[in-house]
Amino acid sequence: MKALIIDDSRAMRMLLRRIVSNNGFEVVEAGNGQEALDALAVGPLPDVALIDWNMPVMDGLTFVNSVRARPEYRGITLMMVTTESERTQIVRALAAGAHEYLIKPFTEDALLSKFDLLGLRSYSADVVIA
Amino acid sequence: MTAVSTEDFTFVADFLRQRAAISIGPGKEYLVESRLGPLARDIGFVDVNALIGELRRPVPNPTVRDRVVEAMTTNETSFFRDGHPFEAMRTDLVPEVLKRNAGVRRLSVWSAASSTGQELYTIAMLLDANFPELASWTVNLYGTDLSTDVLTRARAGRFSPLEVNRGLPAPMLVRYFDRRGSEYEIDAKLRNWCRFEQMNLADAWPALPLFDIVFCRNVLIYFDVPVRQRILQKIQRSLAPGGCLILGGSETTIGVVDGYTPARIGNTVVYRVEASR
Amino acid sequence: MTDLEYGPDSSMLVEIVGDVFTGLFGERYAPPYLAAPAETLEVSASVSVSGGWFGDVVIACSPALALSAAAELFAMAPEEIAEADIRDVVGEFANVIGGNVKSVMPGPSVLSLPSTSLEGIADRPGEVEALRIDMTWQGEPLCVSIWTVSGQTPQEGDPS
Repeated sequence: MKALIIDDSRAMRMLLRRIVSNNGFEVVEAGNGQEALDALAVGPLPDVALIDWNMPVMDGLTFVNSVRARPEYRGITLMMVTTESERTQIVRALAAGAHEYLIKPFTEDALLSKFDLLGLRSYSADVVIA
Repeated sequence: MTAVSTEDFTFVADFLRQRAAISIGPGKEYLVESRLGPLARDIGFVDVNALIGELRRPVPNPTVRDRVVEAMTTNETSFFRDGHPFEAMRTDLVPEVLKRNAGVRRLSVWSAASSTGQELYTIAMLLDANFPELASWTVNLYGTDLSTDVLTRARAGRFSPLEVNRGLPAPMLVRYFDRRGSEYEIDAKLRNWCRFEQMNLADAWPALPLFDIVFCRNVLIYFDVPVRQRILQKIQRSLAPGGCLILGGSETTIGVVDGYTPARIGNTVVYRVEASR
Repeated sequence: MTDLEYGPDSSMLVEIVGDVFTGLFGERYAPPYLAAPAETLEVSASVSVSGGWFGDVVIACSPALALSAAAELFAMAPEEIAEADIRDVVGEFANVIGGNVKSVMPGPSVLSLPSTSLEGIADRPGEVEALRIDMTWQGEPLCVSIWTVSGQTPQEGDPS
């Protein structure tokens, strides 16, 4: 499985990379929405994208809108990972087509629980602590 | 913190994988130390190494074994914890109750050891989201716990960002929660379905109604076998005919008490009592 | 003690900072706790907020704290950590702490991208420090403060 991690903070990309690669994902990184769209245009599509909201050049919401406008990207699961935690923001992101929403700060098991909700983890362990 | 040897760590990792399908990778030695250290002292071992020594015996003490498993899972409750029991409710258990109780139009569920309330509120959200016909039913959701602190929190129905992040689908977050300061508060309608009361499972029980479904997950392991048996027998008497008990993933009634019939629904095993008594 | 009539008080801010550190570093370290103010806070990052209120959320810490945090997050030895790594990490602190502060202040508001400095906390003319907490993490000092533009009347827009 492949994950696309989109965040302007390298530290955050590293943290997310560590968690998802420990769970068997190959990782591609992008520093903003535009870089992420460029990454989608080349190479095999990811199964899931973890998307920060506030980024330079192109923000996460704009990226979600762009992806959902392209039928060939329908299969990508879109999960926001952001500090934007107001209910109105979550509603906006879900309405734009994000499938899930993880609020920063988050714990590793919270992120993995979202993966479980999205059916992204293939093994049937009852409980996993990574 | 006492350091755990690599060999002991590997043993614990294998033990957890076999006993409870828990996966713990290398580099997590500190988790073993930080969680089993306090548990070791609590039980009366001098340190975590002595506790692991007990686990390595040919026949380790079952209570010690079970508490190690529990300590290594996320000890806090969370929304939709483990997922599949709630799927089983949605696909089979609640539809059965809707048929069975069509005359009296009452549904009662008990979350024993309800802690800060996530399990009961999960049930409330599931019912509201999937069974609109319940609008004209009496829905009794009952949560009990030994600790008054968690009961107070549960009654308030307010959760931190860290808590709502875990296990709760974002569409449910926006549908059922409002922001209150830095916390998220569950809808009054769902809060009103839920009642939280103090109760010690190991002591004398207050008079309880009959329940269609009882959740008693990951708490029996804290009791010795004779107490577990008593509790399971009492739960049996609290279940309505045809009702069922849901335990934690690595728990069972088999070999502990009679009177329950296990049945598999998806990835969940439920323990039913007879439909006619 | 706070000059903010709306928004977080010190204990909520302590909790926000605690949750942020727990999220980033897991159970490995105890979260920051309140401590006496310190002098050596040369590393700082801030985000500005505009909309329902106007101000900044500023994080400042000692170089040693920033270095250990970066080494931990980048899984590198301290000697390998570059200036850009330090700026990245404290920038992310400001982003996440600032974002959480924003969500309990009048809104809706927009958070800026973080700006960072290795020369201490910048002057903020026209702003007042409305709330400040001094903490310690792994023996090193950390300070989080909320600055508001003087003379504004915060407006609550959409309820969130």
